[in-house]
Amino acid sequence: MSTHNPDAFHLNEETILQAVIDEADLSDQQQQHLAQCPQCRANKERLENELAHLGQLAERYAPEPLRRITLEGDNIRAPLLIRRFAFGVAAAATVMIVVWAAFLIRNPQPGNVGNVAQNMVEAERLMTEIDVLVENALPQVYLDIVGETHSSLDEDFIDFLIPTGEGASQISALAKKGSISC
Amino acid sequence: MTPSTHKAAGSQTADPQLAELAKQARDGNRWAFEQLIDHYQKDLHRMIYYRIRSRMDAEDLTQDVFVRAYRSISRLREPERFRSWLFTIAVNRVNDYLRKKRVRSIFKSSDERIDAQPVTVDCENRAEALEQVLIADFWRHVERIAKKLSKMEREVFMLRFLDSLNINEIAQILKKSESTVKTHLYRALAKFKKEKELRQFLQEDLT
Repeated sequence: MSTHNPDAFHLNEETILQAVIDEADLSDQQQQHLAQCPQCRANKERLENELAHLGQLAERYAPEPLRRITLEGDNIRAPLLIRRFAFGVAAAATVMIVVWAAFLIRNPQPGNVGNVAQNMVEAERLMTEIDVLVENALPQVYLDIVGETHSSLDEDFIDFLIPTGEGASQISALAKKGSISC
Repeated sequence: MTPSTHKAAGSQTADPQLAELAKQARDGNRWAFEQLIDHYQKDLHRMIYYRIRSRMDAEDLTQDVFVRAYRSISRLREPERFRSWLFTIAVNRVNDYLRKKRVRSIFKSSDERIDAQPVTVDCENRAEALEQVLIADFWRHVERIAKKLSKMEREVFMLRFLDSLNINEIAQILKKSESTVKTHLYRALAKFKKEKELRQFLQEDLT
C-alpha cells in the first residue's frame, strides 16, 4: 500500500459522502487515498465544514429557554404551604371574632342605644329627602324656570318655554305639507 | 460538566460525572436529576425548537420531557446512556406534537407558528435588524432542505448535524441499526449536497 499513487484516481462523490458519515466504512485503499490526496481531503473537509457550520448557526439562531424546569414535587409543595398558611390565618381570624363577640355580649355599652336612635333619625331625614325628590325630581333652578315656584307666570309664557306635544305635532304636520314659512 | 459544545463529528463519549448523576437520579436523588436538567435543558430545548420552530411550544415540550423523564427514570437501565434516553423521549414527544398539529391544521386555514411570522424590520439598531433577516433566511433554508427529506432522513440528519449526536446514539434513539442510520444519513447528505442555495449561504457565512 505504500506504493499507492494518489493521483491515479480520485474518490467519487458517493465515497466522499460515505467518508463524511463514517470514514471507517471505506475500503483500506480508499482510506489510504483519502489520507494522501489533498484534493479528496479538501472535498471531504469542505462538506464537513459546511455541515458543522449548519449546526453552529442553528445553535446560534435558536432561542434560549426562558423558563425554569419545575418538577412535580415543586408543584405539589407550593400549594400545600399556601393551604397551610391560609388555614392558619382563617383559624386565627375565627378565634378573634369569637373572643370579640363574647366580649360584646358580656359588656354591653350604653352608648350603643343612643347610636341606634341617632341612626334612626338620620334614616328618617334621608327618607323625607327622597320623598321630596320623587315629587319634584328637577333641581330648584329648573323648577323656577318651568313655573312650579312662580304660579303667577302667564300660561302663554309657559307654553312658549315648554311647547306641548300637541303644538309640536301641528308644526311638524304643516312642515310635511310644505306650507310653513319662516 | 459544561453543556455539550457543537461538534461536527459528534462522537461524544459519556461523561462519567453525568453518568454518576444519572445513576443517583435513578436511585431517587432529586438533586442529581436537577443537575442533569441544568446540563441538558439548553440542548433539549434547541433540539425541540429545531423541529417545531415555536419558542413557546418548545418551552412547554421541554418541560414535559423532563417531567416524563423524572417520572420514569427509575426504569433507566444504563445511566451512561442518559442523553440518548432523554432524546428518545423528546423525539417521541415532538412526533406526538407534530401529529396533533397536523390534525388541527385540517380545521384551520393558516399556519399558526408564531416564530414563522415574517420578520418586521423596525428595530432601531440596523445591525440587529440585519441579524433578524439573517436568522429568518437561515431557518427558511433549513425548512426547505427538511421538506426535501423523508421523515427518517430528516430525523437522522438533524440528530447528527444539528444536535451533534453520534451514529450509535442516533441508532439507540430511533431504535434502528447503525447501518440503517448510515443509509438514511447518506441519502440525506446526497440531497443536502444538491441544495446549492443553502450551501452557498453557509459558505458565505463561513468566509
